[in-house]
Amino acid sequence: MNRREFFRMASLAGIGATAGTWANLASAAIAPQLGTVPTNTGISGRVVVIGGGMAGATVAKYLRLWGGSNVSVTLVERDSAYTSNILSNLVLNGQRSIQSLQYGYSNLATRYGIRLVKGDVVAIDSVGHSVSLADGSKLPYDRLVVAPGVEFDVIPGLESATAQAKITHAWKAGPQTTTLRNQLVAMKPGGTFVMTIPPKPYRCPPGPYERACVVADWLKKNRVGSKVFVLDANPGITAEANAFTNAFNVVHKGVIDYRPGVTINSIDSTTMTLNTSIGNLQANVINAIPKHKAGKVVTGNGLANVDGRWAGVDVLTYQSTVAPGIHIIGDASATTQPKAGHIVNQEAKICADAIVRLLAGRSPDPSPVTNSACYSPITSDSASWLTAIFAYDPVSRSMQPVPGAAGEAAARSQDNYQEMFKWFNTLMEDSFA
Amino acid sequence: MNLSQFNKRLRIAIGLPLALASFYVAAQTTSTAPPPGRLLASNCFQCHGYNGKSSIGFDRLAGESAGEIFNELKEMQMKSPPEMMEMHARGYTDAQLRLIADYFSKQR
Repeated sequence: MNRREFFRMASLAGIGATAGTWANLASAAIAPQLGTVPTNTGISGRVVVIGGGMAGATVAKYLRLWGGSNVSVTLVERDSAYTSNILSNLVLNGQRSIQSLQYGYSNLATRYGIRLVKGDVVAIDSVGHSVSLADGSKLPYDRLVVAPGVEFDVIPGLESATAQAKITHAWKAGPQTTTLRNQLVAMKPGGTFVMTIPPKPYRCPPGPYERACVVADWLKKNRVGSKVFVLDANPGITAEANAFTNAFNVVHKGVIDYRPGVTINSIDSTTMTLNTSIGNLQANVINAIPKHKAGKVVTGNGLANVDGRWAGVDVLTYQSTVAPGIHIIGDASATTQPKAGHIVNQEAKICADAIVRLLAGRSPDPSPVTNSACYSPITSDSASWLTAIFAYDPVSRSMQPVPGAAGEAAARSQDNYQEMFKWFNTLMEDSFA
Repeated sequence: MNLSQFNKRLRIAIGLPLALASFYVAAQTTSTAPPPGRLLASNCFQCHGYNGKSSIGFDRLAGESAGEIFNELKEMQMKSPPEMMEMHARGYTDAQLRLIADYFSKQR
């Protein structure tokens, strides 16, 4: 037993801890232990960050923590709070509220001195180094970080606002998540729920399969006899194959009907019918997740040089391969890493570290490492997990999985389900607190 | 020779007045280099808190002995089947684990 394990056991047993010291320990454990912005780093510069999601918030915070008070950071975001996609499937089964997944930006402003600008970017001047906002103002920068997340293609048949209000993707947590929850609740026993999964790359590889499980689990208990059809554009389960194969064939057997390799031709929102490569399918609720691409600020400013959809970047700095001085992080960039909140937090730290070094006249770290980690609920009280470590490969100049350091849980468990909330809270603290 | 060494030699060779005149270049290189291991160790912050000062999550790492952190990570690499943290430990070389352990041991 090492010191840490001893301390944990001692704490549990109350050994040697009087009520007073125990109370102090408890309050010390609750108080956030956050960093402060140093004032004497000798580094200065102006950085503008577009987008306050997982990547944007993290890069803004770490630019200040590592760059110091003379690295001014302006965060441009159109919404007043970020709504976490992580855990948003638990809004569907009623275990979380949308409000409980929302994170404001005031910590970033008051604790780290980040300047918040609420607004929409209309143009980036990559030559003159400034960003133009919808209100006519301009923000000059030495380095620009673009982190807009993803946008979605429109599935044929869903062009109208009416159709889009009825057939949600709920793949950007918010009002659509609530709509989908309400549609689920309105289902009758013996109903049909159809979800479609887009081809890779899409945000949160295990997420759609997790959603199928959470929905099936809820329907089994609350709308008996209902079915969940999962139509996957990919040739097979793209993440946590063991966990989800077991979930589909054993845990939710008879409820989930998983079909790989299915193309969605169109969706008729009036008759609630999907026209697919395996025939027509009618449903009570359709949750269609369309193909993804980088957010508009990337595609609209000449930064989407990979398939016309994603931003190519040098993963030592996340600098654009077409626009010097502009860094693209998070789900909008084209890298070998998954598009997911935990790993984009780390990409953001690498980007912040690189920008701080570049502002100081140094070279970026030549051997960065990132890690991906997440938990996936399989039922309302059990979860699986998935993780991978990526290291920079100088030959391919890309992040490559470290052999033997990627994998999924041997089995779902209630412990994993509890750890999921600890992981979520600390990840959100690292990004927004 | 990197830029900072170059500037140091420049100042020695040509003297302070010129170094002051080229203040802009000098200012860029008078900053302290980032602590070794910081970027690597930041992979742990998502679950163990900023600089390992976990307040709401997994084990606190700040101020632990470097040897103990290193040894614990090495033990984790051997556990089978691995839990999530044991899988993470497999992702780093010994040299990287030492950098990470040293970084956390110096945090207060």
